[in-house]
Amino acid sequence: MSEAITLTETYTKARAGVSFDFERLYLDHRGKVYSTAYRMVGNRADAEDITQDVFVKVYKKIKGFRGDSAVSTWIYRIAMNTCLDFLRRNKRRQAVPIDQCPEPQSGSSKLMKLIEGTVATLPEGYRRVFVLHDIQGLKHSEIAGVLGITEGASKSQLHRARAQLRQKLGPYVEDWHWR
Amino acid sequence: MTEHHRDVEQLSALLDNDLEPGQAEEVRGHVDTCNRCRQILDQLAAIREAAASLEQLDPAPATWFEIQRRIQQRRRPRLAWLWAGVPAAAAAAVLVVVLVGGQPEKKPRIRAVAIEEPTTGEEAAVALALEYDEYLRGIEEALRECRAAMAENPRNPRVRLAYLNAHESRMTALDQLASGGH
Repeated sequence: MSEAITLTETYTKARAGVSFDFERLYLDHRGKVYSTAYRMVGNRADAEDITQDVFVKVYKKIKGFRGDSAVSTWIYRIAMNTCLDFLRRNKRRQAVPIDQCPEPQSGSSKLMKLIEGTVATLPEGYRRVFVLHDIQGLKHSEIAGVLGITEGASKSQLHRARAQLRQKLGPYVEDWHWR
Repeated sequence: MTEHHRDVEQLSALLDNDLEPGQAEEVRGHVDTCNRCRQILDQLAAIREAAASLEQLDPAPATWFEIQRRIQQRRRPRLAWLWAGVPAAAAAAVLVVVLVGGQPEKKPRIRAVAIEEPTTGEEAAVALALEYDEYLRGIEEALRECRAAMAENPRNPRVRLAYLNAHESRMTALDQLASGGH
């Protein structure tokens, strides 16, 4: 059973007055939402707040969900919009210099830690695509649905994001052959 | 052939097979003969691989409880219906959120119950009364389960939080009833 069908059924049941398992929805998607928020805003406390906001919105909007896209695409869209709203309200937090980044909680290699600390310094448009594609593993067609952009724009922003990351990480990485 | 290095973005597109076949062949041919562009391509590949290896993170357990608390606050019964005489036809189906306490090892969960759309003022009043009954029954059930869970594991902070939240919800609902929904 596809994910879209599952949520369509959930939605139908909600309209029909049958209980639906919101906790299951939360457990299935909390990691995607929190990881996306953490990489977008660069710190855990704000990512926790955003995760709360996202799931309260999901609960509020579930009856209006038309079921014409996968549930994860729908939730990613709410998550990304919530992140962008947060960043616009807190513009000073957008740029986190790499030397002031908190010690990453995960990742074992030097490059993974550097990327984790540098992603939040990318311009917003590049960052959202890089997070969704290279970190969360979405396809460009899915990103187009989440962000409301074309696949071509998604690809273009991704390649610019990688180019900027390479430029930013260069001074911190003496040897690029550590793998 | 190093005098015309390729754009980094173009090399990134080559990495993802996003270039047109002819262009990809041309850029690949250049990379084969240009140490600098080959090095950049390796760097981009390393970035892509490292990003894909970053772990998926989970929020703290308290996040779920805070979400429950916020939803529960949003969905308290609207007693004002009884007194304000809201046209029944305009009253949409209402989701009543009931906090149900879990077993010690389980987390409390949100259950949503849709109430039938009332068609007259009297039906709206009855529906609201039923809504309150259901709401308070759910809270009582949550309190019973929380008490049982706390008896088994008094130091479980999640159960204690659920217990306190249930009490707060019960008090607020009773306050609303006592004040006529205002």
